[in-house]
Amino acid sequence: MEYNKSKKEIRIDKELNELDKFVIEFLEISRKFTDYVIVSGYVSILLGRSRASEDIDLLIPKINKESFTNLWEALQLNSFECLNTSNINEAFKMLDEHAIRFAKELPIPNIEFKTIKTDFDKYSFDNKLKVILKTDVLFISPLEAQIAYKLFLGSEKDLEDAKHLYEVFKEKLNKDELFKFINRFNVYEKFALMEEYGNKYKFRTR
Amino acid sequence: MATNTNLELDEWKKKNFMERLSFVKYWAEYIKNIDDKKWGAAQKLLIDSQFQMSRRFYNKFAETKEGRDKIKELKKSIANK
Repeated sequence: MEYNKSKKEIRIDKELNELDKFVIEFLEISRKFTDYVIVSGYVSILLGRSRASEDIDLLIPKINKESFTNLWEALQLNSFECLNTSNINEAFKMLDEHAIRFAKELPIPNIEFKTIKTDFDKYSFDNKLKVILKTDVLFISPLEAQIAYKLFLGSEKDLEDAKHLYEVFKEKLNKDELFKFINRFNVYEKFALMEEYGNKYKFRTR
Repeated sequence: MATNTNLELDEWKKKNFMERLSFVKYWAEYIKNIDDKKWGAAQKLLIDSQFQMSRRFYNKFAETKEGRDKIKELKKSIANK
């Protein structure tokens, strides 16, 4: 895995798993109608974390009814269903208030699809990183913001995701940026705990 | 007595979390030092097997009306999360 910080690019030469393929299939349809950035748990998984996920969080800019209708129809044509409602008008209205979920065949995993609402969402979207896979390109939230946000969410799983990103990229992270977000979310104690706990046990190196 | 048990449980949870975070660090170091293809294959094995299990589960449920109703309920509960 190669992170080119100035180009805001990460290159990964891995064979895609079923979760990656599911995300790419959805994005191949949705990107014709809207831009996006991937946030939260799947970012860590895409970048090597060894766990599965129930949902993939996508942030999109505010979308108009016509584009949403086209997107909805294209998703349906490709057997994606909205888990919240089968009514397009209801789904469009819901999107103003909360995330809506799309699944294909199985209800898990599903795509949690939501519009940008906060300054932090907008920052993640405007500063997204490009992840270049063998045959696809995906856009993810900047790592520093992602780590701090995961610490803010605060469950054990979230702290593990934050730890993974921090350890894999720590030599290349912008520390000022990271601590700016850590202060903003007031999660310094969690950051310290993540460091302390993660150094407690040693594993055999090969 | 109950308090002691709770304390032991808290201590156990803390230790368990420490072990997991330490393993996350170990795994991160591991993938930094090997070819993407190698860690990707391990990750694929884990994730794909969970997909297969879940597919088997839904296919089994879809065989009966009761099962199909349960899937509907599950979808509703996921949507309302």
